[in-house]
Amino acid sequence: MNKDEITAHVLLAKNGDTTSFCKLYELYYKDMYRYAYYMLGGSDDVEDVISETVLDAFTGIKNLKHPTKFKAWIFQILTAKCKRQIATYVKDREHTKNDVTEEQLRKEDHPYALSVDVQNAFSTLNETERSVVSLTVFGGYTSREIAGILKSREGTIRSLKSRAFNKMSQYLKEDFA
Amino acid sequence: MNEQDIIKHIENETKDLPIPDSISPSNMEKMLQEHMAQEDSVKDNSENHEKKYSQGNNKDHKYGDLKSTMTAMRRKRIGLAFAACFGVIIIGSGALGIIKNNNNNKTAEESAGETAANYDTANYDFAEDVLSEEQLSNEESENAENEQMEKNLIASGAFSKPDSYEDYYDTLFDAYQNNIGKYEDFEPFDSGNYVEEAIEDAAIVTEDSAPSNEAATGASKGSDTSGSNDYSATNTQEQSIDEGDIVKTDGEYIYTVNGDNYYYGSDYLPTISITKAVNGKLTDISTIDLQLPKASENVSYYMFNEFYIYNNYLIVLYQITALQKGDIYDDVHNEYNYNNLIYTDQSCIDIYDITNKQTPKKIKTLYQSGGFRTSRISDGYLYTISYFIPESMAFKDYDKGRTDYPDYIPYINDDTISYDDIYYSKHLDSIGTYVITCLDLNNPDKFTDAKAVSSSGSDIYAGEKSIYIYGTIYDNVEKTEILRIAYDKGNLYIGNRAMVAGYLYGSFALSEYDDHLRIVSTIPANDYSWYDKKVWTDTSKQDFGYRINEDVNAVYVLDENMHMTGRITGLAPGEKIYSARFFGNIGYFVTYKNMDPLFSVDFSDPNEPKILGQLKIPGFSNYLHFYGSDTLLGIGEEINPKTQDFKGLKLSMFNIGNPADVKEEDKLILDNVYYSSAQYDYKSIMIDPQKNVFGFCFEAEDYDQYGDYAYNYYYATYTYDPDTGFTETARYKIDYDYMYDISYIRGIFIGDYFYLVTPQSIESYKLGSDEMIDRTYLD
Repeated sequence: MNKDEITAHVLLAKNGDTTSFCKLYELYYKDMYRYAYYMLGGSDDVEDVISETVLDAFTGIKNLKHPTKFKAWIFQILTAKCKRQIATYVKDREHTKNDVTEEQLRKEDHPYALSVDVQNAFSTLNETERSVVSLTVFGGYTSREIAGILKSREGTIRSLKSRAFNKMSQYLKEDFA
Repeated sequence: MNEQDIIKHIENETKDLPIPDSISPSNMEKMLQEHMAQEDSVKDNSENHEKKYSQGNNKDHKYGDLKSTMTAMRRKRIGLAFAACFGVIIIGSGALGIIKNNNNNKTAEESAGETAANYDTANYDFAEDVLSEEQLSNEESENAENEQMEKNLIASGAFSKPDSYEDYYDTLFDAYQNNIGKYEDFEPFDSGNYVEEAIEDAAIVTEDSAPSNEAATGASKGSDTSGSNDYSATNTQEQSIDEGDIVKTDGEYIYTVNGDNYYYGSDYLPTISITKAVNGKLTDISTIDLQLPKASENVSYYMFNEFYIYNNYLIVLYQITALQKGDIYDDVHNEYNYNNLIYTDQSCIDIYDITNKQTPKKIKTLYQSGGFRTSRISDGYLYTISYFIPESMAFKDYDKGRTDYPDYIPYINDDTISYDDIYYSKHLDSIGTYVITCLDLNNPDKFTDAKAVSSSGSDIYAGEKSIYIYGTIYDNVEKTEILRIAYDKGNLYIGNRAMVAGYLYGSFALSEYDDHLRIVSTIPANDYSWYDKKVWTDTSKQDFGYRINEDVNAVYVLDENMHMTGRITGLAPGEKIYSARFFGNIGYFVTYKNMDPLFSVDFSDPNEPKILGQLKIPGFSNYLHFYGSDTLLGIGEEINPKTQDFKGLKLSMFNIGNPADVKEEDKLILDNVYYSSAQYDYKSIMIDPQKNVFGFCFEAEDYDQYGDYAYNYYYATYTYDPDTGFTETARYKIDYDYMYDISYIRGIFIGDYFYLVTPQSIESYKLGSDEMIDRTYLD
C-alpha cells in the first residue's frame, strides 16, 4: 500500500468505514501483536490490549491529522495501553510470567519454543528498555521517532538502546555463537 | 554480537510467532461493526451528548460492549484486569493559546474536534485523561504569559554547582524520586516551568561562565584552506578541527582498524595496522593488538570508537562496558536474575608512541566515566565527551547511596571528579551527566581539565571556540536545547543554555563564527506553540491557522551568552531542512518537499540575518561542501517533481559567486544508484577541492550475468571542471564480506595514488584508473 492509498483509507476510516480501517490494521497488526506480546511478557492480556487499541484508534481516527503517520500513531496508542497493563501487573503482583523456562514451555506444549531465548532476553530489560527495543525491532522506528513516541530525548533513547542491547547480548550470546 | 545482529536475531526468532485468530483484521472488523451498532443504540436511548465528560459511564459503556464482543469471539476469556479510563483527549490546549476555548458550553465531541491536532502523534497522552478545570480557567492568565514568553523566544540559563558530593547526591536523589514510577531514569520535560526559570537563571552570572572572546580571530573560512599536504585528511565539519575516524594517513603510512565487526563492539579487541604506501606499493609494517586496561578485567563488552594520528602519537578511543557488581544468582528464589546486574560504561583513551613504526609503544591510558559520545582535536588538545548515567541502585537506599560516591559521581582516571567541576540545571530532568575532558597532546600525561555538566542534549557540534551539546525535547512541541561549553587551550568553561523552536537536522545545522552561533531549524507541523504565533504573524503573510498543518523552518543567531540576537522564521512552509553549510557570513541550506530550494542567508549583521536568495531545482541535497572559491557541491537525490519518483543519486554544483543569485551549474545523476553513505556520514567522503577530486561509496542496482537483479557496491571518484562539468574518473567494485554495510569503507589518496580501504584489505590504484597496483589483506 503506498502513501496515497493509506491516506485514502484513513479518510474513509474517518468517516466510519470499518473495512478501510481494517485494511490499515492489516498492514501492521502482526508487528503490533509481536510488540505487545514481548512488552507484556507473553501474557494472556495481549489480545485484549490489541482489541482495545483497535477500538480506541477507530473511534479516535477522526482526529488523526496526518494520515501518513497512522502507523506511529497506532503504535503510540498501543504503547500507552501496554504501559497501563504493566502498571496493573505491578499493582496486583500477579505477573509471574517474566521468565519462562524451557521445561515449562514443553509442559504446556508451547507452540513457539524457538522464541524462548528472546523472551528471556526481553525479561532482562526494564519496562522502558523493553519499549525501546520493541519499537526498534517490531516498529522499525529510529531513535528520533521513538523519542517522539515515548516523549523522551533522542540521546536518552540511544543510551537506553545500547544498554538494552548490551544486556540482551549477554543472554543471547551462547545461543548465537 | 552487535546491535544489527541482535535485531536480526530477534526478528528471526519472532517472525513465526503465531497470531491468534481473534485479532485478525476480519474479526476486528466484526468487533468494530458490533461496536458501532451498539453505539447507535446507546445514542438513541440517551440524548446525553456530554457523556464523554462523565468518564465513569463512558468507560463502562465503551469497554463493556467491547468485552461482550470479545467474549463471543474467544473461548477463554479473562476479565479486563484494569479499568481503562480514556475519555476526553484534550491536552493542555489552554497553553497553546490559539483555540478560543469555550469548552464549557460545548459538547465534548465538538471541542475534541477543534483540538484535533492535539490528538495527533506527539500528543497522545493517556496521563491527561481529564480536562482539568485549571486548564480551562487559566486561559486568560496564560495568554498574558504567552506574551511574556514570546518576548523571550530564546531563554538562556546558567548552571548550579553543588557544595559537596552529598549535595549533588540530594539533587540527583530528588530527580530520581520525581521520576520513579514514570520511567527508569527520565521523565517528560516540563517546558513551562523550565523556560521561566531559565529566564531567571539568565540573570545569574556564574564565576566560571565562559569567557568573552574579544578577538574574533582564526575564524573558519569554510573548507578550502587545507594547506599543502598532498594527501587526504578525514572530511571534517570544521577545517581546523580534526575528527577521529577508522582510517587515517600521514602521507606515508596508512593506519586502519580491522577485525570482524569491530565497529559494532564485541568481545574481541580489534587491531590497528600500519601499512607503508609508496607510489601504490603496499608494505605491512606492524599491527597493534589493542589491549584492555588492567583495571577493567571484568569487561564484558568492548567497542572501538575512533582514532587519531597526531605527530608521533596514535590516539585510540574506545568504550568498555564492565560488569561492576551485582549478584546474578538469587538465593531466595533459587534462580538467575539478570535484573541485578550492574554495568558501567567507561570511555578510554590509549596513547601509542609510533615514532618507530615497527614497534609502536603504548605510553598511557586515560579513562573517564560514561559511554563515549565524540571527540575532537583542536589546537593540539584532545577533547573527549562521554555520557555517564549513575546506576539507579544508588538511589534505592538514601543513607547508603549518599556515601557511595563511585555509584553516582563520574570518575576521571582513578578519582571522582571534584564536586567543584560538576554543573547541573535547577530542574534536573535526568540523572545522567556529560563528562568532558581535555588532554594536551604535546604532553599527554594527564587531563588538563575535566567538567561534568547535565544536559538534555544528545548531539554535539564543535566549533572553533566552543563545544555545543544540543538535543530535541519532545513536549507538546519540539524544541531544541543548546548548551555552550567554551574551550581554550585545554581549559573548559561551562556557558549558558538556550532553547530554540523545532529540531536541528544534524550538526551542520549549527555553525560558530565571529563569536556567534548560527542555527537553522525545522519546526514540525502541529507545533503551534506560544513562541511561534507572533513570529509567524510578523514574518508571514499567510494566515497563522494555515501553518498548523505545515512544517516551517527558522534561522536563529545567538551571541556568546546564548542570547538571541536575530532570527527569521516562517521559511519554506511545508518543507524541512535536508542540509546546511556556512561559509563566513553566508549560510546555505536546502529544504525539500517537491522542489529543492537552496536558500542563501546573509549573517553579517547578527541582529538581522537576511535571506539573500533561493534556487529551486528538482530533488534535494543531503550534504553540502564548498568546492573552490565560489562553487558549492551538493550530494543528494534527484526526484521527479511531478511524480515524486526517486530517480537516483545526484551530484549538483552550485555557483555561489553571487549568493543572491545562486545557479546550478551542472548536475550528474547516477542511474540505478539509490543509496550512498555520503548522504548520511560525512566522514565517509574523500574530498579535496584543491586537488579537484572527491569520492564516495554507494550501492547500485545492477543486473547480473543471468539477468537477475543484484545489488553491487562501488567506490567512485570524480572531478569537476567549470567547462565540462562532472566527470566520473574511476569506479571500483567493492569486494568485502560485509558489503551491506558500506559505511565502513574509506577511500584516501596520497599524491597521485588512490587507496581503497575496507575493514579487510587495502587496494591501491593510480588516481583516476581502475587498474589495481597492489593489495594487502589486513588481519
